[in-house]
Amino acid sequence: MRCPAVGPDRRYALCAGIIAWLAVAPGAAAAQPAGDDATAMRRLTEEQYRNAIADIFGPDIQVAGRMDPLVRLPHGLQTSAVSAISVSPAGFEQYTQMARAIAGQVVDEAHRATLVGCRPTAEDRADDTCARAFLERVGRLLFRRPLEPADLERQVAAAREGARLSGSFYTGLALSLETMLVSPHFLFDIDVTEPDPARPGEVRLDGWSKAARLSFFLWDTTPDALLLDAAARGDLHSAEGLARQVDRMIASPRLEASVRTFFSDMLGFERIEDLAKDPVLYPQFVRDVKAEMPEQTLRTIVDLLVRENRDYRELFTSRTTFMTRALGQVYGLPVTPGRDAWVRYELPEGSGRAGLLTQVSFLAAFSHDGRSSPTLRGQALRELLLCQPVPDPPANVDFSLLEETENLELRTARDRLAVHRENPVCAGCHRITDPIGLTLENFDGVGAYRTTENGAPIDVSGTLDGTEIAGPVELGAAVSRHPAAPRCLARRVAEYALRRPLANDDLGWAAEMASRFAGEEYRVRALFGAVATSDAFFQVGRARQDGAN
Amino acid sequence: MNGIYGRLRRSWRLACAVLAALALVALQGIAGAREGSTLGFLVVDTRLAMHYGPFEADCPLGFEPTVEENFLATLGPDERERILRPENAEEYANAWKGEFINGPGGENVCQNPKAFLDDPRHPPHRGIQSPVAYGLNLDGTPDGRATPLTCEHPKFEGLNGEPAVDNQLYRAVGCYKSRRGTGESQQQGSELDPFLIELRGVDDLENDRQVEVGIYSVAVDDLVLRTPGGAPLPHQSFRVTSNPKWRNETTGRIVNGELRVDHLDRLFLRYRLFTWGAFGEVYSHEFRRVRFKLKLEEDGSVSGLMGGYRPLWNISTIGYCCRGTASTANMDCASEYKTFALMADGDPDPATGQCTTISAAHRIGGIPAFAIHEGE
Repeated sequence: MRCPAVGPDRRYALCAGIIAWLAVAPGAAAAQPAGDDATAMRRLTEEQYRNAIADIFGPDIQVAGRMDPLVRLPHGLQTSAVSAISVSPAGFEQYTQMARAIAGQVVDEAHRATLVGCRPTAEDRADDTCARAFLERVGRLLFRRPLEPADLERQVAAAREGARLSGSFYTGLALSLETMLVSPHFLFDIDVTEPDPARPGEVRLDGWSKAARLSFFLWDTTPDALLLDAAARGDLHSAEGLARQVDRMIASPRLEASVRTFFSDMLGFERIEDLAKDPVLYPQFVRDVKAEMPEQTLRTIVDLLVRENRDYRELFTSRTTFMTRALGQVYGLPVTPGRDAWVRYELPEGSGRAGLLTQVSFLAAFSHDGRSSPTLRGQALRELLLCQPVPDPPANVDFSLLEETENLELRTARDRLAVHRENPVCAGCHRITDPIGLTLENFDGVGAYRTTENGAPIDVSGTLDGTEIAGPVELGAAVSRHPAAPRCLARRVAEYALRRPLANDDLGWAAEMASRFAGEEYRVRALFGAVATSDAFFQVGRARQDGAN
Repeated sequence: MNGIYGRLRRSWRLACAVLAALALVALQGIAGAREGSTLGFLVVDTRLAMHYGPFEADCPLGFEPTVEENFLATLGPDERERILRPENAEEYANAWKGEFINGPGGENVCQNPKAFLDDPRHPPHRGIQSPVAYGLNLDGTPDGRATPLTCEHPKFEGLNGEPAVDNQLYRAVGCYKSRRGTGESQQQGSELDPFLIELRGVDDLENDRQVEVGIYSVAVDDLVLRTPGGAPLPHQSFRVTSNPKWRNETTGRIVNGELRVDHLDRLFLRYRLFTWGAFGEVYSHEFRRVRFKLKLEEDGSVSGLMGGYRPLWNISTIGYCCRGTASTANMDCASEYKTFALMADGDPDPATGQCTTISAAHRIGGIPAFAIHEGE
């Protein structure tokens, strides 16, 4: 831990001193019970951090700052990076600034009455009783386990010392809280094990770690008080107790947050943040559209798979979605504005659109700045939705022909790709991507509908693993029937649950989850429930990244 | 009026670039509309139909005088020379911005131009002298003779040789400095708030003997989504206003790919002022005996002319707006009002015979859009 550069603000000096004091205090490095074993740690994602702060202190506590970005591992989820990533010096600087800002808000005059929960005997000096009550309660929520008595006393002492130096109880309390907010026990989800009474000589996750694992998987946030209570009672070690909590969590609206995070990750939506389109060719790609296109897909997913609890495969065929006026102008469809900016929307039968693959989030994200890309779209479908990795292109490929979109001889993408595939080095991969992507050529680089390119009619015929396809709607139907689609989802959910790449040892479990998924008629709620109640989900000591993806 | 028009100015080059870009993304080429189909357009380009012929031919006596120039014309040579000296700048400004535009009774030339009808210091403008203009034949006569609904007036020849077109508003304002600079700056901005045209029951886009035509203001909350460069985007959805006054319906026909509306008795369109001192005040533009002649373009857009008679009171209410218009825009609303009164060619007052409306034409352009009728 460290504080920002010492400045004229006396708080910096106080902070530095107190953190240094905590660091050298006896037992400061071990918040877990003596003799237990920490086997893995995962950094909280930015969403988890923000969700946790909102859940513990309320949504009006502002969290200003950015965290170190997660780097997507090849053919895997971005979330998996949390198991391998550390915190950079700049990232820790951000954490400390956020911690200071959060702690300051918690004890400010607007919030102290509700968030601190007790009043000091005097505001200009320490009050150990009030500080202890606050730090014990908040510490349990932040660290997702009770503070050991020695740790709690250290935090109380920090508040006391801060109050003495600053002449303010609340400043002292904030400084103690600040140190908790930059603690690895808050910033990382650390697995703590204990001896497994059912299997002598082996260990299991302790109840608190199980609670955290459940909560970050099912809610994308820190455990709530009920879940921590269940952990304290040992309920999570019994099948019945675990099922009771999982059922409660699956039934909660908070499941939607996790499903959103999962699908945003699975669909690679982080690329939309950096997406740019040629404003001359695609003037309709305005700021509102860029912001709303992933939101449209995520709303569609949550509505279909969580609220309606429908078959996952319908995601590729459903004409029900959500729309805004800004998106409507890209789709070329009328939108009746409601009181809310978003309206539930049924795509017209003859619109040429149905399902996820015809939404502009997918179509625009997997296109180039100035043209569509059957190859990128086909590759995305293979890799993201069917879990079938496509090799990268050779380094020395000449793409100039593909970029000549005004070539009067080769007016459509199909024409240009046909010539490109004459290069045998390219042909192998393009054969597994292009016959899929060409069926989506009714949509230009931003996802707007078209029937011609450079004046030539567009042929949208293609194939998917032997199935003849006559256009985008048929492609969705074919994907919905493809056995790899639900298997891929089950595998991705397994990876998301573990927050690390699947190891070879995990593949049997992932396959079992896929079978359970099929047995539950491809209900995503059931799949999340099955994963959360399986033994493998809580298993410790598995291999890390050995390329099973 | 110039004040409002001036604030809405936009370059023609930008408009061309926008339309070209929109053509690239047009999703619903209107060719091949199904039987009984509906087409919608958001009319975003509503410039007053100004024809910029050779200046010497259009305005042989030069630009119309500003209110400041009208003031100077009231002075003898010696007094004019004196007051224009730099040391007398304050006296000069107080003189023309004071009594001259506020009148002896405290009336302002732009707030109440009628109060200056007998003041010879605010003479009527000379107007356009050349014979060619944009416009439509609104009175149906070949020569502008008086009819029960019109006063005798001169006609223009249309730009494509159409005979006997009416556009007295252009004749009145065509030599304003503020309306014709040089080059690109000649082009005027849109005059009206964006509005919707909806064609219903379209069976054939080339020739259709009858289509239903709705002309609607847009619901207040439905702002036009634009590119960062300011170009309105096609295929947006807009709710039709709930105010029946701004919902206008008639019939038309399509002739050789051109929509023609031969008669709409009254057309009202909402207009929200964004002038200082009157920001947000809502008025209506009023047009009488309106005609449209619009080309249905391949890319789904429309372009052409809208013509009709505009009540003088309506123009002055919207255009003059506020007391500051004369001194800030340097326009002599009293002179303009006298010009309108002299050139007015529609709706004669039964008592006096004085015409109360003036023929006008707008060059309009629309992009494909959806008109949403809530509750239907």
